[in-house]
Amino acid sequence: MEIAIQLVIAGILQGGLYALAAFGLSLIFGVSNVLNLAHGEFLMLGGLFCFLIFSATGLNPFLIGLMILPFAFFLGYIFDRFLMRPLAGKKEHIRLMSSILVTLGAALCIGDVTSFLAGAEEKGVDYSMPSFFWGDLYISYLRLLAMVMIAGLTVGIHYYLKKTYTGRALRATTQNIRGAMLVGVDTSRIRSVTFGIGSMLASIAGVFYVVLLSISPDMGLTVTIKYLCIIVLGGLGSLIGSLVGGVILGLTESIVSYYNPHWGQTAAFLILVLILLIRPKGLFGK
Amino acid sequence: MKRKMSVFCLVFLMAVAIIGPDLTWAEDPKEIKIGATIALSGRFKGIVGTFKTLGNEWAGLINERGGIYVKEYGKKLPIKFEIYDDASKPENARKYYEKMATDPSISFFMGPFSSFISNAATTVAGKHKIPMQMVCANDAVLFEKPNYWRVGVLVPAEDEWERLVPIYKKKGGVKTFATITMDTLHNKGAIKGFEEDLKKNGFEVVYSVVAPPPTKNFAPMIIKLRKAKPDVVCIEALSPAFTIGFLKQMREAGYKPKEIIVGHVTKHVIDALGPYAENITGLAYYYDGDTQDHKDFLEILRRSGFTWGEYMESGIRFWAYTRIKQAIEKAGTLDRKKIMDTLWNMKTKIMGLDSFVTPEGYGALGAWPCQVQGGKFVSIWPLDKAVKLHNYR
Amino acid sequence: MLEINGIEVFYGDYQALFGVEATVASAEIVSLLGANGAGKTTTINTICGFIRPRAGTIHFDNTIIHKMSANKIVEKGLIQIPEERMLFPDMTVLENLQMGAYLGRARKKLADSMDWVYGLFPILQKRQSQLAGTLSGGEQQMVAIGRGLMSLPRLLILDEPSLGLAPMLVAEVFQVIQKINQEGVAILLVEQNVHQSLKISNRAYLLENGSIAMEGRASELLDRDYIRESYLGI
Ligand SMILES: Nc1ncnc2c1ncn2[C@@H]1O[C@H](COP(=O)(O)OP(=O)(O)OP(=O)(O)O)[C@@H](O)[C@H]1O
Ligand SMILES: [Mg+2]
Repeated sequence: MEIAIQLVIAGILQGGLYALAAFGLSLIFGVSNVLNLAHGEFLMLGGLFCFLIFSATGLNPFLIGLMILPFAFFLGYIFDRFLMRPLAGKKEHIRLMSSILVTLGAALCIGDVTSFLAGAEEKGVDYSMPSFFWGDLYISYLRLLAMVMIAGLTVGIHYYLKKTYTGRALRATTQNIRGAMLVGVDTSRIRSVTFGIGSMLASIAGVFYVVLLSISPDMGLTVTIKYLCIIVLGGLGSLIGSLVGGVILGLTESIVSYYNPHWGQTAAFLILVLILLIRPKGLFGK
Repeated sequence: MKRKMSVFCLVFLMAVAIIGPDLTWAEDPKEIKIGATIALSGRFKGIVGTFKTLGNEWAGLINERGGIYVKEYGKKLPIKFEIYDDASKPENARKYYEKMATDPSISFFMGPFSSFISNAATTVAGKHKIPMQMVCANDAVLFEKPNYWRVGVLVPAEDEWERLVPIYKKKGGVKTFATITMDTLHNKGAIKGFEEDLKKNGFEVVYSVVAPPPTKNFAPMIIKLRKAKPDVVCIEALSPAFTIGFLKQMREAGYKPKEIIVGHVTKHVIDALGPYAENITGLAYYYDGDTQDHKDFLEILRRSGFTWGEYMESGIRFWAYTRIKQAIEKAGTLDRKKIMDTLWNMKTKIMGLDSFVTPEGYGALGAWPCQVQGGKFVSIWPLDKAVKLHNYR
Repeated sequence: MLEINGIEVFYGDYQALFGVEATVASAEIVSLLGANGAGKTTTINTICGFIRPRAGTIHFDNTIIHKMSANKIVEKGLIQIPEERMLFPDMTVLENLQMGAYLGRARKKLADSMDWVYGLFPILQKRQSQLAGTLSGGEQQMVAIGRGLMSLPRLLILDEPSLGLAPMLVAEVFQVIQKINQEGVAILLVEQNVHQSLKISNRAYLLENGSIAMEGRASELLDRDYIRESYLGI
């Protein structure tokens, strides 16, 4: 029984981490219909900058994570402004293909340049907090902090999307882009802003990565694929879907890995296929 | 008339084409060229990327002394590396070795990093009959199919951990072991050998798990680990991400074994773990015992700007360079077949230790116990010294 | 107020408009009539900045707008209520209306405009917290018009507002259009419903196969034989 509880805790905590970055990917897809294959690269860059600043100053890594948010936003914004916007006017099928190629190319390019400038080796920030013990059960305060931050961000984003004009314009653009244009929304700018927000979320996830695990320049595409699975599972474009999808993936991996570590990932993919067979549009897809 | 002319031309061209390469061989070579690929990018860059510099510094050192004496020409020839970046991928390694095989001025190949990529490279060496001294490659697959044109420098992966067991036996204080292995041939081989060794010596392996390389959530394994309560936790993984991830999560879980052994401790693992890395036991292909002549080795490290403790595989490189040098001197020629014969049969000393090749093609270089102390990876060998210097956590 | 000068519009190689010319003066109601596929929607989408003309110019208040992006044109007070309505289906009626007042000028007058819209369509107030996607077709049309009004239009372009509505509602929509016009808003009305459109319009244009076939005062056109035969079926 304790084992079961412990596995569920571990799975949910891991899933929360998955959900955070998947959230950003989903947001971007919803607004601009682009599957941003460079999303994992933004995650990696967030972790990298946290690592570099931490090495130089020794500040609390989460504080650093907050400090680099504006920069992450800016990075996402110009990524869209200069790479994605030129494609926006193209025909649907051309746009789909070329956005895949452009984001994939950008992903490879960012990975290689990072590897060249900052070194290909694995980087991790040495920062730990004690864990909370209750009999045989334990919860790491670090992960708990991650969960609290994720929950906070979820509420924050929800509020942002519901109440602010820019947030509403973002939702409007997702739901009907021409309609949004007709009420005067500058949809190109909204797209860039969304990329900025997505990049911010990825960069926070990257900070957790570099603290809890480690990062390396070639990790990007691997995590992007995982996040793609999560948002497909949750339903493309649905925020709550990416949250639930992340937790389902984390839980499955955790529980199955207990019996055999090799089946953890496979089982997660089987669940994905199963859910898509029952609900082709994902759990919360429309 | 015209036709005669063209026939003549054709015959002449054919003659040049046939004799041409021999003509160039007839001339004395000006230098000895060694071709190799190294992971200057991709996932292995962090482990071996700096070894391009190391090789060039070694060549520089030898050339300062005039080069390598080749009896056939009655003089010393300078040595030169031709190095390509295989980006940690076997297909690139194959491509570059194939390219170098067409260059007659390259008399030697040195192998790439890791068994997996070496497998591709040795095929090229065998096909074109070019001698290859392998480096970081000691997995069984490489030696199962016979190939005359490659020899290794390392003992089999299964024997890499063998010098650890005597320490625990002599020192006492630990009984039970757990092993966490990343799912690669090399890692599984090393742990298999170690576990057999442990059992032979009366130790108990209470938990043993193999996990795929991308594993991120280690909590399920750590739950089992906490139940099994081993004295010693061993992590053997080629990927630092695996090692770092596991250790960070073990720290989170508050599990404190008496001893942690990590198969591949590099600078980056130590940095990522900070003080937690203190007293982690590991292995390096070098020990600073006084039986050895390590002047040259330390000199090229100094010139390259890093220490053996930061890149624990650097000893392998030095052994391979030295074996190449000695083989040329012994053979007294650059003839490929004769050099290969020498590489197989030669029994010499490197840094005061025996160097030879087994009938399968393995070498004689093993790994020696080290420990992270004061944030640095320090050597704790020979055995008497190890028992004294080694700390439990 | 609005001047369209010889615009040529293409979809790929297919030419949809051939030198269309038209004007709308302030406080006017102008109808743009034509059969299915004549090019009416194409014309107004070009005005709104969704499509770029290959030749010709469009001026609004003496400034060139055919090179502006759609949202900038909205800022100038030129608002379209599209045939497909283009509501935000996962937002409530209230949020949809609020979105209409997205731009600064309209945002300040949000409360006033809301009263105006609820005055024209009292039913929307009752439905204000319902998701727009779940409304009936007629209600959706009202939200679409309401959202357009929230933007404080100076020229309102309506693309077939009566499409798919019951005759009762159609009459109501035409009344509302007249009311809006009385507030000083110029109107460009695209309709299949030729008779009723001409009755409330000052002037009208007839579009056939991508070019203007006829134009004139609405009352005059109502009497022309050609219109009576081809479009009114009399
Ligand atoms: N996106 C498009 N691509 C290609 N051709 C188009 C496109 N949109 C419209 N057309 C063509 O242009 C012509 C004019 O279409 P438009 O939609 O402007 O007609 P309309 O007058 O609004 O018709 P309706 O009364 O049916 O709405 C039609 O022949 C149509 O098939
Ligand atoms: Mg139309």
